[in-house]
Amino acid sequence: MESKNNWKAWLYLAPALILLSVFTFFPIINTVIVSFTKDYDVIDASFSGFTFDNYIDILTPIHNANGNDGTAFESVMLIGLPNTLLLTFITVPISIILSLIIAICLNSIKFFKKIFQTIFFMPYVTNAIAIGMVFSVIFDTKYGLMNFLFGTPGFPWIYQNLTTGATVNYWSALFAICFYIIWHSLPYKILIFLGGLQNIDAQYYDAAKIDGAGRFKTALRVTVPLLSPQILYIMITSFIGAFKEYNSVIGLFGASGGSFDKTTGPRTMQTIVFYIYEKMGENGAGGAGLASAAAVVLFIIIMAFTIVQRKVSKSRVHY
Amino acid sequence: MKFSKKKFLLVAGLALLVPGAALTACGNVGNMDVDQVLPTDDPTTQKEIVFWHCMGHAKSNQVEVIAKKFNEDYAGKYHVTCKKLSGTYDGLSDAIKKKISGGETPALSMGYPDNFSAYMTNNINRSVIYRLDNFIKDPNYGYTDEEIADFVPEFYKEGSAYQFEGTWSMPMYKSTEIMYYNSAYFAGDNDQNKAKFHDNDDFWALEEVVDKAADKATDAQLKALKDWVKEHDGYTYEIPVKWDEMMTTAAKMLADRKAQNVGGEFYPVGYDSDANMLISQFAQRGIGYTTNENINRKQDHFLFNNAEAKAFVSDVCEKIKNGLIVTKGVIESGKYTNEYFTAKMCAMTIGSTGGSSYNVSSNFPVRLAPVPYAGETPKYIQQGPSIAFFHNGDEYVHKGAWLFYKYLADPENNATLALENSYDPIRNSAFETKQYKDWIGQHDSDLKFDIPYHTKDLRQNYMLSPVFVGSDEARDQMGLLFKYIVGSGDSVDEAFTRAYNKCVGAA
Amino acid sequence: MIMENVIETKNLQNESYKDVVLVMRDEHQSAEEKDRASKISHIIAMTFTYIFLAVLAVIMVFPFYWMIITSLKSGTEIKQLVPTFWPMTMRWDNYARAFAQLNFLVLMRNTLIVGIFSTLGTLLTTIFAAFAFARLDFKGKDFIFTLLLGTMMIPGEMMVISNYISVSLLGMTGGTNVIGAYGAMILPFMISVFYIYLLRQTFRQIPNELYLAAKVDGKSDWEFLWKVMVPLAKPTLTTILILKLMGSWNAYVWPQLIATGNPDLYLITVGLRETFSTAGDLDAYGAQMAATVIVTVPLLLVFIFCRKYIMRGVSRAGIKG
Repeated sequence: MESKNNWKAWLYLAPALILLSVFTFFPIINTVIVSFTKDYDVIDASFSGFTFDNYIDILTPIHNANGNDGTAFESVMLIGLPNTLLLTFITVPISIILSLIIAICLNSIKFFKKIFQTIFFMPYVTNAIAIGMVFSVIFDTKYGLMNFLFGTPGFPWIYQNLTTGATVNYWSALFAICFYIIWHSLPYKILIFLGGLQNIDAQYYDAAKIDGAGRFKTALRVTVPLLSPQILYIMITSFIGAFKEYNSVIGLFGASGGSFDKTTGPRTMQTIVFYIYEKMGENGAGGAGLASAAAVVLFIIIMAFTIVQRKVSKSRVHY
Repeated sequence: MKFSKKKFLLVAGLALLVPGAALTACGNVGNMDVDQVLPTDDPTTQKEIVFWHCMGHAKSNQVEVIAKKFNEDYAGKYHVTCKKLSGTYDGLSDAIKKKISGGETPALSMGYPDNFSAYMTNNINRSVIYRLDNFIKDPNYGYTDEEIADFVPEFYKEGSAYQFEGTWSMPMYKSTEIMYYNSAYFAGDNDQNKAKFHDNDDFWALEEVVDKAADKATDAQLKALKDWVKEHDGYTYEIPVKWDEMMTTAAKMLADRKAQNVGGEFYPVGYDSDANMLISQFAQRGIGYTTNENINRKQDHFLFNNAEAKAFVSDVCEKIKNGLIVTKGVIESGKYTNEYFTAKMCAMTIGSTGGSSYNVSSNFPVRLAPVPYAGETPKYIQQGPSIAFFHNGDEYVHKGAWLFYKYLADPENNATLALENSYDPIRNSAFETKQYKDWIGQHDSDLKFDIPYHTKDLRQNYMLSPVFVGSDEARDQMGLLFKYIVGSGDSVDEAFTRAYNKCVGAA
Repeated sequence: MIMENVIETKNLQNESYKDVVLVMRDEHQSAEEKDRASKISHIIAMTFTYIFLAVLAVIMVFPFYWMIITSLKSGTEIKQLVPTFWPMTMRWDNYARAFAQLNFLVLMRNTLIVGIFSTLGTLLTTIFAAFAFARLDFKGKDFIFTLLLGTMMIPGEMMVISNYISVSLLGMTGGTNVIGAYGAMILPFMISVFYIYLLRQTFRQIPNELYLAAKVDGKSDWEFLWKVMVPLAKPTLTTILILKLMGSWNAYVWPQLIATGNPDLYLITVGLRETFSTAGDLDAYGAQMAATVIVTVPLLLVFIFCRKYIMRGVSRAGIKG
């Protein structure tokens, strides 16, 4: 193993740590502090005391002195959390598997390589406004592509059909937004996997060929394990990113987050970060406190999940 | 672990220091007295006056012209710089909040009263903006009583409708709501008549009466069309003046279409702002909405959770479900009812006077009418920016800001500024200036000239809503009520409870 | 027939051929037939691959196609309720207008300054930090790394105000300080935990033997880092370079906050959104989309150009077997 070189390591880490301390650690500590304040006002950084109320409001439906009837609890635990969890656990596995397959395919073709690789990178550079427009068109109730393809005229995917009075089923809206998120997240993953594939020595493939392994088996037994450091990286960063999903909700459903039939699921697609941003932008005192508390709760959830992921993957990642 | 713990403590210690430093940095704004006094003399070195705004291209160019004149007149003493912080009011307010927390304040800025109430905070001694009564009453640089009376009353009063007493903002320019309607549809040039008279020779006469360029039909032609259609038992409609008339007309339109089997998606009435509808209709019917009086706890501000309000909302929801009216809140996100209107899916739509260009169509003539009202007198929503003045620690900067405002509020300057996209100026005498008269003299040639021609008659009936920290949340919730009921399936009671709780729970 | 001949000839030779012969006999195929079969399966697999990629490619490219046709439409056509899949009239003047209204040179210059400096800074901090985590052993390594991972878990909005305060305290804001403004836009982005993690993974794949060999040759850690690890990690570093440059290109929230009111300091996306006000001017939608397309083209060029470097095979001379 390497020798213990504490001071040298810290020297190498210094530039990163200094920048991080100022621009990341400090804001995070600030966030934690604010989450315990009462009536924190962003305008002049004033607050009237310390309290656990922000956490109680978010995590429990218990009344507190303000007459707050559980709106924070509902927004975060009954709407934000289910939405965030569903979005994350649907989009991440699908997009990782899909991008892995695509990357392997892209790496193995001979013709049109440049064109295909550029095309698959396009969602990354496409303007978000345009993307929102397109997906609205695709999932439009009256003239949308989806209804055309599936032969279901007037089916309300993301907004209700006023002529028939049909309200939006939560699950169709979920489908639409998962489609959007997966589509949007593929390029980055494909890029990383392609880079990783380039690092795989040709001799591994040769050995597999000699052993008579078919294409599929090679992919599964040779490529994937050799790509495991990148896969782990993508898994962890994708989950973290998906937990923080926000832009796609605004892009597809607007500032209200959508309004769906409440008997089919959560009434909006608002995620936890949606709630956080909403509270941060609120006028008056106390919003920042709730937002910070929600951010801390989110942080704990993500951290717990990440630690579990890393433990489980320790035996499966080969360097 | 020793090493890293030390580092951690160092970081934490640093972190705790900085907020403290930030607070003291913010304290460097000098005299934070909420009542400021204008100095009688002028500064010896040129003072930089910064104005933050969110105006579009054309308007900001006009303000630059005014600023240039100001800078010439006050060369050496005050110099105004206009900075666009964002393209929207929300973006501007967001940027202001962040910059203030970093210790940056402008001399003056535009914005909505809801935003300004947030800058005041709930503690008057912490307010980032200051009261203007001393400036207004100043013998040398203020306004005389006549000049004050020259301000359109409701616009001026808005400046003192805040959570604390006194005048905290001055109006800049204002807009209101108006009804745009398809006058050919009302006159009989509608789908069901076409179906009825199609095989008739007389049908061609119908088309000749309405000018070939459909959007340019004159009033005379429309009247002729209407008379002709009436004679031939066609469907024509009167422009509604009151809310109930509007709903009756809407029902008749639907019934007529059904009688003739005219298909296609059609909602007679469109309303581009759910919140404006509810706020103005509540006011007209004497239904409580919000208040600034007798406030002991936060929830005392919100009065809308009452039976009459619920009855009205329930009624409108019924009408939405029956297809009589469609509002922005219940159509797809990102779309407006004015788009339905221009696509002939609405016969009339109510929207902001600032958005006239969106209601223009080349397929039919668009006319204007006041928004139908309920009760004895109409009450129209007023919207549009005001200007607030920020603590700068320098009384000369405050004076420069005030003097610049006076330029912006000068009747002629203000008329030019407001007219550019059909806003109303804020001084009565502005309505008498040459530019104003020239502008509205061109009415009937384009919608943007029509609008001030109509709004000048509306200004007697503008209404005020109380402004306080959280009044914007009330407005937002009004805008969401129909979503709760029509979109999510809430009962009216449930929707109101939800809206109320969100208002009270909001910071 | 053929098989029997082969067996007979082979029987006369070395034992080691036995396995090969047995395999061939079991599958009832000759060498040529097996070769042909594998060629056919290769072609079938490739065909499926191409079809799969083609279908997905259409889905991938569709919004970009939409962007382009929208940029060629008139304002009224964009806003109409029934969307059209091809412009009714081609409005090339949208592009003329975009070029005229957008101050490209200034925006490009600003974006390049901020982009290049923050990318260089990121590459340096990332290489150093990833090296420390991948190669060096020190107390608290796991704890610090977990801490770093943790910073990725906080949504950006929580940091904006604190960072703005920090940056103001450092004297970088206030509207008149140009160097300070650039600094404020660059400094917070000279670091990225995402890329540290990515590079660490790549560094860890470099075999220990290389390190030991270098040590034997008497090279220091520093030399090993720059002469061996960095060249070997080129694909990953190129990826980081592309993504970071593109990040600066797309950056909006922070640069807008810093540079508000000073159009000379705008980055490209900020300029894009601020320049076209669609209020009262429907055709501005088309011009805005045209400007967006214009702005996207350099991004694609960067990708296409750098793509070669990512895709270039890396041959590892030095230690084999």
